[in-house]
Amino acid sequence: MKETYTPLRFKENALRFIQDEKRRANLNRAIHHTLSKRIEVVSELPDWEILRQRAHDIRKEAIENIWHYIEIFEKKATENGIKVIYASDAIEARNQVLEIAKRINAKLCVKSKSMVSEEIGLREFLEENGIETVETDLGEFIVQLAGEKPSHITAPAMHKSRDEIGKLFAEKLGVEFTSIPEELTRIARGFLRDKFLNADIGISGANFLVAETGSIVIVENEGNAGLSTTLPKIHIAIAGIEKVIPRLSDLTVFFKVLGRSATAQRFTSYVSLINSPRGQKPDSPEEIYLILLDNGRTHLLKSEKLKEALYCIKCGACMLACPVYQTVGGHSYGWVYPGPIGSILASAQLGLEKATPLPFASSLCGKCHEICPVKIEIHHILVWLRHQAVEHKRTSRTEKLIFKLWLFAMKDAKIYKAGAKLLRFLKKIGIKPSLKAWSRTREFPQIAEKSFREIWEKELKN
Amino acid sequence: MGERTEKLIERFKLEFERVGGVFIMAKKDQILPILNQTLKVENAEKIFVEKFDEELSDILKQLDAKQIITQAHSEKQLAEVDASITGCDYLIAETGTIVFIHNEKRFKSSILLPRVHIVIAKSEQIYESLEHVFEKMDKKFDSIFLVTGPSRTADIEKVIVKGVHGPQMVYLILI
Ligand code: SF4
Repeated sequence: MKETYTPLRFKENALRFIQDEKRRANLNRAIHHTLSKRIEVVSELPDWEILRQRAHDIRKEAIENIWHYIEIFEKKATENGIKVIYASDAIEARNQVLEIAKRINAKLCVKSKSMVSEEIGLREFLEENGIETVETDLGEFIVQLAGEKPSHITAPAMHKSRDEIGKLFAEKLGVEFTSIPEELTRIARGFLRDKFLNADIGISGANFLVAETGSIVIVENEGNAGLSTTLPKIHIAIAGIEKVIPRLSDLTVFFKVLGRSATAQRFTSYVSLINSPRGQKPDSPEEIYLILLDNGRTHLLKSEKLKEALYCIKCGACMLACPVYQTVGGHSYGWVYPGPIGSILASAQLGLEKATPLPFASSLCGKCHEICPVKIEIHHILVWLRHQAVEHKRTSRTEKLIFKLWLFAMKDAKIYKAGAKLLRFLKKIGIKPSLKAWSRTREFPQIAEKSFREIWEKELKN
Repeated sequence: MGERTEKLIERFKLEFERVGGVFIMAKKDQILPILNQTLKVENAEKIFVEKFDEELSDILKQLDAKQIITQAHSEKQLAEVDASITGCDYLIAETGTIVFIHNEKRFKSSILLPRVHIVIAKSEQIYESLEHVFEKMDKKFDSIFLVTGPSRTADIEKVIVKGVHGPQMVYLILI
């Protein structure tokens, strides 16, 4: 993993992105497009708010009783012939995959989109161990070819323009340059077809795990997840423990909110409900493994405040809606899950000392909460995390001093008045406060000639 | 046909066409000419035909195609096919979705690998919503595959492109 890819570099990464006008334009075009289409498909459902509440309630029920539902899921899935394995952290999960791959002497893996496998760095790990591993989702494939990381969880290549992708394909795949999206897609289809048909293992994530029926549910648009989980002899699905939901009928609620929130679609093109390996079926893998990954999730479960973050169904809407994400892009966060929810997950999974800048990378406007299909109070959790960061002395001394002074002044009207007078006096004699970090990208507000109190007393009161 | 079914069909058609599917209503004796014409338009020479009931099987035997495969021995063979003709288990009116139960007679790869997919369905298979299908279905189902229109992506500058890894065209012929 690149050294710069850490939340601790948030500020410098963000600054670099802000100055890259082309990238910002690519990103903003894509965001604007999705958000405006989303409004269309959301507003046609008169009971959207009821649906959101229902989705929230189901996720709450699932997380509050997570071990109960996981037990039911495991029992059902095992009965159906799926092998369920637990992994407490990234290292364990990676090794479990490698062990399976080594046992069958696998040379080639096809991967469908899975943020959890990004989280554990699975592709890089398998490649280091000599197993070719190919991303098959078009966006992920582009990002893999470019040697980059996804900038958004459902639209991984949204920071790239068609020209950039055309150049990339020409360079890496040896094809003639084209910037027509249809042509580029056709090139990728041809290249990846071969991989699908020759792969030993298909690796996928999971959107939901249904306890009632033991189903692994995968939602997608391209058909690559369907193929990755059908053609190779072995299918390995990796899912965070929080993916479990109680009942089959719960899916109907999530399908309505997920497509609309993630890609502004009424329904995604494909949904696979995988219940069992091949058996009597003419195609399907002979073996299916499901790796249930903890990797810091039980840590979130233990905290009454953070638990709610596990309701997340990874739709990515909060990122698009966030004014900070819109400005700094997904890569600046330095963590697989960017944006508002990512800041919470990073703080919990990496520890505050490694993620401190992130809870502060928010305007706390609450847009993330407003758009979230499972109604997570993201902004409140971020405030709480800031509080933790301060308590654990993760903020600078100057910042603390400023806030101490602020508190001192705000507590007493007389002191506040005197302070305001002092500022106006300083302005009159030409001394300006020097707050470069703040004023570098914004206009510094002018201090008014007269305070509101003065105007009120002298001019407005009567 | 009851008024209710007619309404459901109308809704299905609307939603299915909205996601880019081609909807065709047909009587039994119209199936063959419709299929032949579709295969011609799509320039499909090599086709895969799933196992149907006897009556339909007899009709499908007379298809105008260079090569008809009814027993696929491998997925590689299915990957070389231009078009597949399959049945389905349910239709969902609310979203224009086709439901496939993955059982002994169904290749999931026959739904995904060919460039054109033609589905033959009956009007009694249509339900209002996924909720209704789940209620109706045996909970001990094997795997299920829900298909709503052709394969698509918007990964390059949000331009919608059809036929990424799955079919570019999905036809539904409703008897
Ligand atoms: S927090 Fe909500 S809006 Fe953000 S990705 Fe998760 S479910 Fe979507």
